[in-house]
Amino acid sequence: MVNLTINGEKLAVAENSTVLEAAQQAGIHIPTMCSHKDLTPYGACRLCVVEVKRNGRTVVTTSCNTPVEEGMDVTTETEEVNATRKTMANLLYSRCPEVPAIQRMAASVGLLQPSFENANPKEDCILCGMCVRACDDIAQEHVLGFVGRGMDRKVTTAFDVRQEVCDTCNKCVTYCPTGAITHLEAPKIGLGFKKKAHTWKVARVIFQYTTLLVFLGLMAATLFNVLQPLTVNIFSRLNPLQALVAPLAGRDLITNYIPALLTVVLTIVFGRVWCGWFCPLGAVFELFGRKDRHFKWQNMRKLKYVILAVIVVMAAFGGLAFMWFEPITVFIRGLTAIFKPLIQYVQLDKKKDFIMPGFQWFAIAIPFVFALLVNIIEKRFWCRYLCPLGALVGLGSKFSWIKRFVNQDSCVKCGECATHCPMGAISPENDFKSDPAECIMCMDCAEPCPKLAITFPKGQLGGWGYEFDPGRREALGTIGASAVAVGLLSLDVGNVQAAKKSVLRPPGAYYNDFLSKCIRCDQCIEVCPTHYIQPAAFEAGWDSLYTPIVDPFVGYCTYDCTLCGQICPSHAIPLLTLEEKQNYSIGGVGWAQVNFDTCIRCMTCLDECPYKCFEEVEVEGHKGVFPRVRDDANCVGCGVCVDVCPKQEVKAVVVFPYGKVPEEKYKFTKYTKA
Amino acid sequence: MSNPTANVKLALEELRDELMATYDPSKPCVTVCAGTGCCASGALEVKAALDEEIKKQGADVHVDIKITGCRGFCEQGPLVAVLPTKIFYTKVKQSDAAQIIAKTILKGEIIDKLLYKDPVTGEKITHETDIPFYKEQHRILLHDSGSIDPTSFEDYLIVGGYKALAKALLTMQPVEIIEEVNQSGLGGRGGAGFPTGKKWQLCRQAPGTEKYVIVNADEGDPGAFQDRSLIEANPHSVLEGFIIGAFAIGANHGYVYIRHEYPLAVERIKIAINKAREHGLLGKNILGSGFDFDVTVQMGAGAFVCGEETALMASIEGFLGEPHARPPYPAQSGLWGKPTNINNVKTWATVPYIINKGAGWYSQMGTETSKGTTIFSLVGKINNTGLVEVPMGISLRDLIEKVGGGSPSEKKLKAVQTGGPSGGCIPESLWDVPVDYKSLGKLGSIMGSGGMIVMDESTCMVDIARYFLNFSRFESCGKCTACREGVTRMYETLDYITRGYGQEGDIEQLEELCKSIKAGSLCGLGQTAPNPVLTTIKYFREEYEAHIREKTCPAGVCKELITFYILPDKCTGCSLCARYCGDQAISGEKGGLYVIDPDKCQRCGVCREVCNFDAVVVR
Amino acid sequence: MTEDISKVDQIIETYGLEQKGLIPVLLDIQTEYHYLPPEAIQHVSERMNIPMIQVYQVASFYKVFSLEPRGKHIITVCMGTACHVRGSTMLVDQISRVLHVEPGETTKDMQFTLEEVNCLGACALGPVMVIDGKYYGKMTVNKIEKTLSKYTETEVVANE
Repeated sequence: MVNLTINGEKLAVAENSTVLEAAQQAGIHIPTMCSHKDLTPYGACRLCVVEVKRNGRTVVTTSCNTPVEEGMDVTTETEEVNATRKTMANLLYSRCPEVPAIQRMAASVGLLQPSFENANPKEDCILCGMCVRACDDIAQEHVLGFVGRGMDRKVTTAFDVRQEVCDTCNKCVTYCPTGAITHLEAPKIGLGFKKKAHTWKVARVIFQYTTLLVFLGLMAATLFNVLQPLTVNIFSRLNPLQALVAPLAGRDLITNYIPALLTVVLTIVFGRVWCGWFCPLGAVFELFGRKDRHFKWQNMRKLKYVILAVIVVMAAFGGLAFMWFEPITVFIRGLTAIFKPLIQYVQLDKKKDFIMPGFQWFAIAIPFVFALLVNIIEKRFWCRYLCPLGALVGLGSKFSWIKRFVNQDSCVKCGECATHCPMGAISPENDFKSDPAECIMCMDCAEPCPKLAITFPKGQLGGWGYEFDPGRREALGTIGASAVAVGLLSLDVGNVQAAKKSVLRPPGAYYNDFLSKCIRCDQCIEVCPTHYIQPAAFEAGWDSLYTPIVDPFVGYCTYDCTLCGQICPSHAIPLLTLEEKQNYSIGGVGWAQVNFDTCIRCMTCLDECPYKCFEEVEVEGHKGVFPRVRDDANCVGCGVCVDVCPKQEVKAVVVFPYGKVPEEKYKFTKYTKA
Repeated sequence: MSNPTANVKLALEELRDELMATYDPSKPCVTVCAGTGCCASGALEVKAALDEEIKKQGADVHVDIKITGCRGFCEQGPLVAVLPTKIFYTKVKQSDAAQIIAKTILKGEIIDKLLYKDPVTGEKITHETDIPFYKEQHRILLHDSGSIDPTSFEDYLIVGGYKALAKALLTMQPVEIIEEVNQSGLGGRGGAGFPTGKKWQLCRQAPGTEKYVIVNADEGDPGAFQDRSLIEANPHSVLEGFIIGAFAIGANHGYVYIRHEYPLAVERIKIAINKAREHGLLGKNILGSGFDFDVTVQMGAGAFVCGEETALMASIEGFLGEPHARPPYPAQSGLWGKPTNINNVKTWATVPYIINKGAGWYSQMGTETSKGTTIFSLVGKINNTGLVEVPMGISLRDLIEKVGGGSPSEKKLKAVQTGGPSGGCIPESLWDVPVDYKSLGKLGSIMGSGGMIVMDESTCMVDIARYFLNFSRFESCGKCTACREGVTRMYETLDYITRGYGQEGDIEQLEELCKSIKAGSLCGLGQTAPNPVLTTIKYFREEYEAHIREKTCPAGVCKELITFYILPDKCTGCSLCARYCGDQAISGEKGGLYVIDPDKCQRCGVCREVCNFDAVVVR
Repeated sequence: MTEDISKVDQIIETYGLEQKGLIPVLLDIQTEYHYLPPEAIQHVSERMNIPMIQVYQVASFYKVFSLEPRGKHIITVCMGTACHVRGSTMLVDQISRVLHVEPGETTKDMQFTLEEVNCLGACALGPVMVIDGKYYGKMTVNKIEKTLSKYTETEVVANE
């Protein structure tokens, strides 16, 4: 052991150690950019200067390569030492003004601006020689070296020819303090790694946009009714949020959602790949928006958990009021709102006959438009802060087998990854790690990392990532918000129960626990060939927003069509056979009633009714014979009668929900032809 | 070699006796200086002509003719001296050979036009020793430079060569030699002045049997050539000292590290080594003492930093010439990790004299702290450019004005730069200080390896600082930040200043940089590189301020700050300047008046250079 | 263009295969070929068992070595202090102008290479210019063209 004094503190260190090591042992920080415990000291950066007194002589020298001596007296900060250190920092900073590691080092010695300009401000190599030493000492490859001298010195290979070993070895990369190592012109170190990362990225982008195209194709198919609806709604059926809440609220095992198990498995294995690879809405978000911007309140990220919690808690109480927040439904509704009328217009022979749908129709696209707008503020704003589905798969990916990993031995905190992260998930405050729940496994960060520090290794299956959970306050907030939501539901605010009963629902929904299952995707609206199914605003209560209602004044239910039932992923509209749909007690919508006051007795309804429900009656106080739905008729409320009625504006025939059919105002008698 | 002690000793001394017996000091001998300087001026052609003339005139029985090493007075070359009368001819041409033989040798007449003319008094001087340049010197190391043939082993024996070696090896113990050197007060002549005896002792005491010694002849300083001259003129003296030192230290192998740019010196040291080996002075069992020693000549490949001892050793080992941190010092862990001693050429060459004449004789010369003599190469704006050996402690004024003969023109001398790129500029007002390690150090300069560049009013001090930093920046190995980045930044700042972009605060920033670079650099190159800047700021701050504030260059050097102008009354219309101007900036008619267009002029100065009528001036 | 490197083996023989022989070997190759042909560097690396980068970096570090082929005539202008104060910069400028090359470059016809050197140690004769080992002391701008023409002329004659 050797005894020496550092900053007045006496300590004994092992022989052959350096002054720097001794200081580190004593917990005294000395800045350095060219020393590493694995490598032989070199003394290039000159930041680690200290004042050393030995044998009566005082010198300022570098601590990294000064061996300790008995009786040495070291001072790590004197006026001269600090001035020298600051100048060295200044010189390095002036050489590499844009390297964050250098900027931090400079700031740590109190330097905020470099004094000199560099002709090449992109320079990031400080010629510390760590890579060269690693190549010689650790890898023993002897490929890298300093070529030239003075200002022309650079790290490169012989004749600037790249060696194959630079693809595989990568031992030098860990040691580079600035990240310049992979930017070296000739050796192109880490090229293999980067190529691989690039391939993955490209693969993901291709997959993602293929998925988007498939989705759009399916939507088109739905709009044109050319595909079997059972495959058309596959995005909903793979959707774990829908698969969770619809059965929960509907108290029913919905077999339609079995494919969602695949997503669950994928999430547990690969993390939040749903968002990065699969989600078509995410693919749209990727097309524009700024990923370099970060919302000031990162705590806002928890908002999506709150939304998720509200949805789930409400579902537990049988309500799905906020499912319109679910992204797949958001996208579908957005497309429906725009394309449905468009296609209708295109298909019309007489363009004059086209009726522009009202605000209520376009209102279903509001969440979609909103999501696109906020995406301009920040890329994937929706995914970051709002998406309940993202929150759900995010929770799942906390346990995922494969997670993003940042090699902290290599990371130089350059922040390059954070600028590439579309999710803003990479946290500069947490050593550029990312919450697995926020990372969408897009792998965009791996290629730009100059230190090849970012990998996606297999970890422990089911292992918990590092903590990024809502704290107590957020948890309380979540519960509070959910309670309010449930309260709204149960307290019947706005008299919604009554409102609910006043609307017509798609075929068979009446006999189903419709609102507990409807996930507000509005695919039924999209698929309905006659526009019979329309979106609700608030007429059926606030919690029925964007649910499908049928409006006989717009369309009618085609006699031989069961598309809505087929496409409904959650079976809120039951999947019925044609016969079942045509049976009022299984697939009925409502009951038609003729208003004798306004009916002009044209009998078109009677003629046109596909179910032959009408009888002829004579009505007390009215002249002539009127059509009337027989009491024993199989009126399913298809609305053909309303559709054909020439006196629609005065509601000569109206379809009422079952149980809401008013009593006949007048006495009538069956008319029999004389 | 297995010759018994007595026999070898006899052989060497016998040879000497034999040579002395045939040597006739009174026989006329024409010596032609064949240093690089004189050779460049045509000395070898003169020698050939002399040879021919001697044969032609049938004088070969009466006269010897030989070449010698550098006599130091390169300015006046080619130099021819006739012995034993010591008649000294300067600027001899081939055509003068016939006359020299016919008149001086055969008739003893003096050829007046070849004599040196004192530029101050105008007096013609016949004998070498009477020329002020030589009169004021105290030549020990250079004593034999002008009289012996550097390629001849025999010549060296005649002047008493290798006596010290025999004395040291056969009659002294290594510790006694070290003690003697210690007593003499000899300091390292490489520039730092570290006591040589102490250095040897450290290396001797270092554990290990394998040790190395090195002659540092990597004289990279621009403006210094004393090592080169010494090796070219008297390589055996260096070798003798080297062998003695190796014996004292206990090293069995030595390297002479010499610049590739000095081909003649390389050739001569190689000849000397071979001759010494032939005569049993290198190899096994030297002079029967049981001491084995051999020498390898290693050429430097053009890197100033290799003058730094750790870089030099890395270079010998076959690596990049990058310095390493000290400790460990070479005395503990040098070449291949073995204890190694490095000394400058002049240090080694001094050793035989100390052994022969004793430490007391040596230490009586010089000052309290710096003993002995030292060699300077005196160059620049001075009459007598050349190599001078003076005792330590001589004042700069004596050195420059008496030995150097003052300014060659009417312009006043204003500063002297010592120590090359590592040294500083000392203003004329401080020239009364004695030249030794300490006092030069106090002035912010260093002794260095002995380059001394005299500057007059037409030298811009900012430009000089810039020049030296430009040198340093290209010679920096690039290993450490302080030197690589720092020197470049200083250069840039100075470059801005000389181009008229200087700003208030630049001087202060330079001073701050200088301080940190001095403290923070890994090796001597970086630690001393700021010296030219610091001293010029210290003594010539007003020149910096003129550049920065008034955007003028008082000395008329800095291109961007000056304009060239043709004096109408002096211009003869010869058109020479217009023909040389590369920028077509000069116009006029032959026989008429020529004018410089300041917008086109790139201020290269070629017009002023070529003008035979001093019509081009700087404003 | 590939150089005939048969002489390299012979040079290596002279100095042995140890690392310390590297610089002398390279110096001799430089003298032989006037530059260091890449093939020679590769051969030295293989024969002496020294990693190529080490040979290459030594070759790039020391000023004497040239990795590019050089001209038939090497013009070296001393940029030492003594020569500098006596106007060696002007010499270089003038040579650059005459030959259309910058310092360190070789003329297109491979006749001349212009180089700057820190000090040739012939300070008393400054400014000094050396062509193919022949010293030209006290050079002036006026003399340059004439001096250079000596070399071009002999070349023309030799070519005819």
